[in-house]
Amino acid sequence: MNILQDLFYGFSVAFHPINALACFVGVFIGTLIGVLPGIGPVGAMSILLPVTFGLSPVAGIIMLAGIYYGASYGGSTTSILVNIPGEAASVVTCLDGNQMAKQGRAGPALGIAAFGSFIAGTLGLVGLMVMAKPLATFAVAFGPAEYFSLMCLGLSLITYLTQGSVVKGLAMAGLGLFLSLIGQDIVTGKARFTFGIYELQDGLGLVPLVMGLFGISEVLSNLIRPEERALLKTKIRHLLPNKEDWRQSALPIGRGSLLGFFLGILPGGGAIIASFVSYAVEKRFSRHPERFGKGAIEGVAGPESANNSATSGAFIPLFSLGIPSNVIMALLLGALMIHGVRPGPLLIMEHPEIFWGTVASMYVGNIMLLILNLPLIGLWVKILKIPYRVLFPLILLFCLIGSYSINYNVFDIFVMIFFGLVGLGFRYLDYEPAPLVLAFVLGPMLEQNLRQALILSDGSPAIFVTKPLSAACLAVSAFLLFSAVFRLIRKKNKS
Amino acid sequence: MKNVEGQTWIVLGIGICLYAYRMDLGTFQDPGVGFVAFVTGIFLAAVGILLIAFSGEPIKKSPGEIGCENPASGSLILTRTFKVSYTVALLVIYAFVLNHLGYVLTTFAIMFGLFFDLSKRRFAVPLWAAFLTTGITYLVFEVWLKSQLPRGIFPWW
Repeated sequence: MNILQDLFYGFSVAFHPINALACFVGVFIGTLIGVLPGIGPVGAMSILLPVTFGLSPVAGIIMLAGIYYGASYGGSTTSILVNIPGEAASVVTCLDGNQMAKQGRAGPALGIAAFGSFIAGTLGLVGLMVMAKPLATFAVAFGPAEYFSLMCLGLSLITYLTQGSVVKGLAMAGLGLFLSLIGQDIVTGKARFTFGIYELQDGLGLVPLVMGLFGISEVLSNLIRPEERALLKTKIRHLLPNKEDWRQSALPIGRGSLLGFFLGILPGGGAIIASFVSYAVEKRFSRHPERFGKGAIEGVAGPESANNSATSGAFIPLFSLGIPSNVIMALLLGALMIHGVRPGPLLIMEHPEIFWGTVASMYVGNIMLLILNLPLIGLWVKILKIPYRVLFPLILLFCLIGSYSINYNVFDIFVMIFFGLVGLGFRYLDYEPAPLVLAFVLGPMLEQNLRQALILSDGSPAIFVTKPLSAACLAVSAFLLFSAVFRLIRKKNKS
Repeated sequence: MKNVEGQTWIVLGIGICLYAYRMDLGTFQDPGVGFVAFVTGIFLAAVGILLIAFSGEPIKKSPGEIGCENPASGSLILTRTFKVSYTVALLVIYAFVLNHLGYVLTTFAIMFGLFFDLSKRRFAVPLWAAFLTTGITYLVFEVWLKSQLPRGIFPWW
């Protein structure tokens, strides 16, 4: 009953005109960047972060969250029609979605992707409502040792599940941690690693760093290696899937929703892994696995449901523990802190309007997305035709304005350009920037909790292994890292 | 290549350790300013050693890279490298002159440079595109969102 009351309260917040507008703008931009190449949800969120400064914290978070789950919807359109994923979580949709489009079934493919996303997004929200509050209540009892170990586990998982080499993922996490230390010490206020540069006293800004690593480097990379975008010349009709389509898709949508939700909760999991796992599961469960890759509707329904459900699941660690599970959540955490809201287990109690307002807005946003993605599909197809030479100057301009507007300081523009070039180098050397950003955001909290735990235990590191939860987290982290190293040793010996 | 990468991480790690050591490491009972930085430096150096040790580690391609592996010829690579250098140079110039020339002039000039197609050398389209983007973003950010964009030499803007 309490949940229902809270949800009604959330709807009263979400339907406030400014919040409803923020939700619409968020899902619209999310769909747009999901469709457009050259900028992902992280880049778009960092560009729009300064825009949220003029809004209330709840409207700002609603808009940024809208971009996140909106991009999951929009990404499927390019996967199906162009065979190029609009964002990484839609890669697997290319396999069967584009085949369906080639067979003249682009309509049902787009339809089931939108309906599957809607159903999964809604089911994921139910899970978020049910799980976040009890977990937050449980987490109130956590001390610095538990928090430190949980963050170590989060970093280990995101490094372990990184797309490229695990060792390079570790290097990125270490570099992110180092970058987070630049600026004044949290306890003594003494400057660290500033090298006499006054602007570094407050540390590096999250927004210029993320814009550089994800926005600028993406643009530069596309200028070096432009993508060929051949839009399929097919008529899009019968967007509503027929009875047979529904029969084939019902179970994959259910399984994808469940899988995606739980994989979304895991640090480092998120929408990308959820979509791949869902595809593998559907292929395994199918009586005709040979149809996969040749236009099986289950291959679209499952992964698209999983990646949307994962976006809801990813909010659980952020809202209940204050620990982001992926880069996008790290950016949302940064946004909350910029707005003066301290994320953590007390957030739901101290700021119910943010938690319940965001949850309710996601229900509303899912309906908006269904309307945006089905009747307006023609508009998105037209947008797909915009050439990149027109898009990239606009993306760069938004990055420039975005990074300048944070502190009204050109130093942030230089930081952004620097990390743009660094990010370009990382792309070519196969370094994944996600662990860097997560470590950068977690760094100050990690340091604070480590130092607090050591002071509390009178300098005994045993505090991290005598507390059961902390010990379990550290054991899992150690297991993950050692197993990765052992795998490398075995491979090295074999070769 | 991996050896160079590994060595870079080792040098960076050692550099961080030395800097942290000079600041104040503190003790376990009372960790100092450089405590976490020192541990981070050791961690990075260790990762560098791992990179050198496992230089044969296979690299998985990220999903975003699927379908965009176009082999390019030498002249094409040169053209694209020039395009990237040109773009970066424009961004750096933007940062240098923004406060002096102000938002309107700087953005107009830089957007013209970005929209300008070096191979076609047409002026009208990039001029209009630069004018429109500058005008619209000025209206949105300065007038509507009340961002304080720099005015530079024309304070009435």
